[in-house]
Amino acid sequence: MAQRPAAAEFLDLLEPIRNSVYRYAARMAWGDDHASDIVQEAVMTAWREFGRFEANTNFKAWMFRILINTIYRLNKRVARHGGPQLDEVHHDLHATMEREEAWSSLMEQPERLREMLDDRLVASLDRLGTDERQCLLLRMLEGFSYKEISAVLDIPMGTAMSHVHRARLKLREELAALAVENGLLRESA
Amino acid sequence: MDCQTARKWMSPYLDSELETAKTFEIGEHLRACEPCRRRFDAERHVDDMLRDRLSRESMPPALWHQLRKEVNRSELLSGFRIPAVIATAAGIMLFAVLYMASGDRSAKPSEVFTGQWAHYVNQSVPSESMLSDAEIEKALLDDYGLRFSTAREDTHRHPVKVMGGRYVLFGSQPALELRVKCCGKDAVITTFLRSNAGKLPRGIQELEREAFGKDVKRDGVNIRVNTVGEAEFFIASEHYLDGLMDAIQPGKA
Repeated sequence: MAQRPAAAEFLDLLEPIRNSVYRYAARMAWGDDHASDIVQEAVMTAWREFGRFEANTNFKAWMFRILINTIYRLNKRVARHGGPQLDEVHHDLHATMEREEAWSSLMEQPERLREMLDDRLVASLDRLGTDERQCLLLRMLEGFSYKEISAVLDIPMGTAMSHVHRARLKLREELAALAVENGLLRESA
Repeated sequence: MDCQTARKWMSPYLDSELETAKTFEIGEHLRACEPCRRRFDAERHVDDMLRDRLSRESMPPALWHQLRKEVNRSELLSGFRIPAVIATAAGIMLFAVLYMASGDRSAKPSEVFTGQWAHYVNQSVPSESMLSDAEIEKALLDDYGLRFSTAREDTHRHPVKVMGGRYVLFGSQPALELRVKCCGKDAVITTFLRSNAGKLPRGIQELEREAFGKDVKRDGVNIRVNTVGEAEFFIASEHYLDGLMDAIQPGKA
């Protein structure tokens, strides 16, 4: 019986995660228009290395390791698009608590917020630091566990957890500020 | 559990990453503490919003098509497990099949082949082929404007003269190039071979030494590769490899 060609096996594994690969590249690229270049290079690298992939292990994690290495490598060549990163989360407990209350009220009308902040939300995500952004994307969007993130990014599990936590805090603060800008939230609420 | 502790663990709680006891403790706290519950809901909303927004992004179909094409093609280009002689012969046969099956025998084949290094891949061993017949036909039409049919009922035998041949590297990819003449048309067929760290595989080097300028029999196939010379084959397109084996008659038109 003829051996099944490797390309068919590779493409079968890639197909269900192709959108994840593209989404991640788009959010980690130095510009949206470079996502395709990144994906193309990562996929062809993965294909060349496919002989080393161990069958019945986590293909998505393996593919993402290659994708992330490709992004690191390509991002070194081209400066990432500018713009300031999100500020550190401030630690004024009273102010934070007030803001959280206001934020919670805001969340009672999530559809309105969603409509208004749709594109700004992605812009805010893009302004997170690289470590926080990639950990949040891997966890929240791609469903990797902290352990898997730790393996994919080669960082301690506690660090992965901390990055996810801080990314959420920063995003929430940023969104609260955006809501104020858009008149959805009063600053003193 | 107090509010500060509950909030400290809220993110891993949201991610279902806490051990059972801690998950239970936080769950209990959230049931009892409205501010923390609202905070938790807010966190979850942000996640939902982001997930909802980003999930709309998907790989453009054209990119996926391109990737599939490149992966399939690179497997074929690598000449997977195809002995050099068979690859060579099959490359010749492919040319014959292409030529015979093309809808316009005068214009397009000559445009593609004459004076160019036309890169063709061995499609002639079904067990090695990654592309369906329909995909092969589409790729050839898209890339070269060639109409190509894989219909097996064509039993027409077609002479191809091998005028010369050489081994070359395209980057690190070794290939066998054959200059052929078919129905009065000049053509170059390039069959890519498995790469071996950019060097020609030992088997190919041996073949080069043995086959250049003289007749050599390999895997039951007679072959002669000349820089300037003639070796004439009959090619049958009825069956791919079997037909090729049966049909090749070196030195006889």
